[in-house]
Amino acid sequence: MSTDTRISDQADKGLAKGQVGAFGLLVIGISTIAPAYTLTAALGPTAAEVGTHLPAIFLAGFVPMLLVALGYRELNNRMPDAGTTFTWATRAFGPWVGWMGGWGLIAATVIVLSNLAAVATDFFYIMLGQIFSSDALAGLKDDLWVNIPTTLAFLALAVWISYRGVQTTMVVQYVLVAFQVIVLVWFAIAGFVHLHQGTAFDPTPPVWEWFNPLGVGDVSTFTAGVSLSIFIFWGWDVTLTMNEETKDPARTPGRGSTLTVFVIIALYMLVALSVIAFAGVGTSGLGLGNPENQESIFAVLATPVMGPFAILMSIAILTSSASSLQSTMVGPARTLLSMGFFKALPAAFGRIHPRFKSPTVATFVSGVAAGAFYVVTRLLSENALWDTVTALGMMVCFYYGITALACVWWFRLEFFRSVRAVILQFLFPLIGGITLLVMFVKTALDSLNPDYGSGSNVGGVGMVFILGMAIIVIGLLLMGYQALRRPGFFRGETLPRDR
Amino acid sequence: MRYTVGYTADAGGRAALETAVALAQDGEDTPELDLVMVVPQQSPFAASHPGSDPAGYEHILDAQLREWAKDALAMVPESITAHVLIRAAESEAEGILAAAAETGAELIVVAPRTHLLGRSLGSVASALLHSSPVPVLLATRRHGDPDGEHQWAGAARVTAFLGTREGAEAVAATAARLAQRRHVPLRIVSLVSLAEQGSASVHDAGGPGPEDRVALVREVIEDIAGRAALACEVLVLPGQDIDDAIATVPWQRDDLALLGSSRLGGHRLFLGSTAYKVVRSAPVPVVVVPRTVPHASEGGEA
Repeated sequence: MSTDTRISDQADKGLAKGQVGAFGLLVIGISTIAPAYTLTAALGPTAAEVGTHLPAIFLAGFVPMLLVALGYRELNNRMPDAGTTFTWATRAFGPWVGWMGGWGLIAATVIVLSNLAAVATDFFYIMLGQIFSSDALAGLKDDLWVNIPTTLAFLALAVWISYRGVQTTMVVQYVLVAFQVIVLVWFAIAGFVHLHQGTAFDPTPPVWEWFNPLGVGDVSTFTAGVSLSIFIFWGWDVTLTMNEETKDPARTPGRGSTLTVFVIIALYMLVALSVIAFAGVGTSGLGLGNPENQESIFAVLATPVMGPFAILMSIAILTSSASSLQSTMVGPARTLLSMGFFKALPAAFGRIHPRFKSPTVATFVSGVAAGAFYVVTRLLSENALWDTVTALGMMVCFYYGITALACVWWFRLEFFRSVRAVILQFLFPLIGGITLLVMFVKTALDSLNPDYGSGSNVGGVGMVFILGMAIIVIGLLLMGYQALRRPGFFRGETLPRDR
Repeated sequence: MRYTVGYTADAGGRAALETAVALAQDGEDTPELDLVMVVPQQSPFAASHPGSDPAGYEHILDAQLREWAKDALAMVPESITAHVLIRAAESEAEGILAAAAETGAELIVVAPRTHLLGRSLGSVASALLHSSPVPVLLATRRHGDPDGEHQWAGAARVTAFLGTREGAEAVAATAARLAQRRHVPLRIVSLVSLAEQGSASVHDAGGPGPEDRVALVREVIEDIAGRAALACEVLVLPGQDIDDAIATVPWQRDDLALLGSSRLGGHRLFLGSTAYKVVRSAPVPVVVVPRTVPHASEGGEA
């Protein structure tokens, strides 16, 4: 008997099939997006750019995300055995672009890991402060000697959980999501009640103009706002690309992702309107324009808005960022694993644990990179969270853009066969991809200015530019080194171009 | 006889595989080994973030599993029919049990993990011991040198650990069958803790002296052996406590230890504290027999 016939395998054994309905997808989508976390991280920086036009920008940010995600779905359906930027872009554009696309995804997820851990740390101490009614405890979050070790501890914990292959169960996920949504709605309603009763900090009744994307002002402001708001929808695309896991692959993903979008946009609108209505966009006190408030808006507003119940907000953000931290870890680890497997990185990255069946080296490297990124930005910048969120928006634009164009290029021989294909495989991803890449370049150029974003700078050059460019340049250098050391991948031997 | 081996591509998995091979080789019937590699079931509610790429990941994992499977099959001698079963399950133990049920295995072989902290055999072995309907062989890595020079080479003698409580007869019967099948001698060992009143003594609680207690236990054990018509050596080993008694057990290199699960577990396997100590300290592989294997008296349950 040959060896192969003696191995009995189950096809698709790892994937849970036919389990998730539209409501399940909604839960998955919300937990992936983690709105409590994205809002606290992105509301401030976005409001700093666009002021009261927050709702308009949030809506505008969804458009490129939608266009790209539809392209994602096409690629996912056609190349079911592999589905991420690295493999897709390599198959479409060849090894060099594919390598950088993978690098962009890794960089973006590593940045978000460091940001998630940092937000978890902040709200961990805020929560302790609320429990023990101690400002000293809450103030620990600003002490670098406490903040950095705690953030690293959160990261280490997430690495450990990911390495052990421990998964969040369905019940836990449902509870976390429900709690998050309830607390956010509570916050929003409380904000409107303050407005109504005249107890708001800076009563600013909502007007329709806030929804007008053309009212934002110049192109730079618009781009900066959209690039930030892409981040708040990041992760929504997974609801669209799930298919075998769903009860009805033909219909559930469409319904589930539409449902998710409506719920998440409604939630964002509600909270954004309430925050502006309560606090206004002034530059003093609780105003959204106050740079002091922009790193983490709920840290400042939860208590004035929710009173003693502000602790619920702390718990919601802590649980949402901590659970997101652990599940996000999977992304860079698997892309690194994939790059190791296809010999685009040293083979060690392709190692899988014999017992836990999880990536080993790749998981640790992701965690260490996130920790290193956090320590560096925290030490270099007073507004580390703000800068990382901006840099993150930039990196998401970069790799989403590449992925969308990979879709266009991969389907170039067949998309004129039907109207549906022209729209979904060509037009949408092309517009989405170009928009995102233009936004990437525009953000990069704008961020050269030391006043960009949080205003942190090194030697007169904007911090966000330095972060973004450092990531790209390090990627290019590593790619060059790999090309010299392991030319096989770059000659297309290990992962050949399709067509 | 058909064996299910819980296999992982590390030292523990190899210990389990080598032990199973050694045991299978010297049996007289045609042995079949099924190596089970368990993959955790992906919950769609867990890894769903950008880049989590479930399908691509499975593709890579598959390639790795096949490589591991081929390496494992290469370790099995030609005389033994071996298969690799790759199965997805919620947990390693669940996957192994399902595979054992699927193939109709009569014995499950796993390597317990020895932790520095705590009295644990590792989650997989513990879970199996709590729920396996068939005997479970714990392949300890302690026997022989770590480099494998003094590898355990099969059962040249069966050593059954018997208590004087109900259920001992079933264990004795299983041990006897195992020894008969392989034409090897059977030895019955009973450990007596002198410090612990009543734990080993069946009859009066009137406080008999150490010699009396040993004699009593010997009587009971010989009675069990006699009823089962077993030709065997009976050793009753007293010690201050169970650890002391275990330390006095004379081993030979190719012993196979066998003991029964505790009554606490009902129809399933469960290790009592004495059994647990034997498993931890025996220099040879240990088979843990559930109390409901065939030939065990069903009436004795409850």
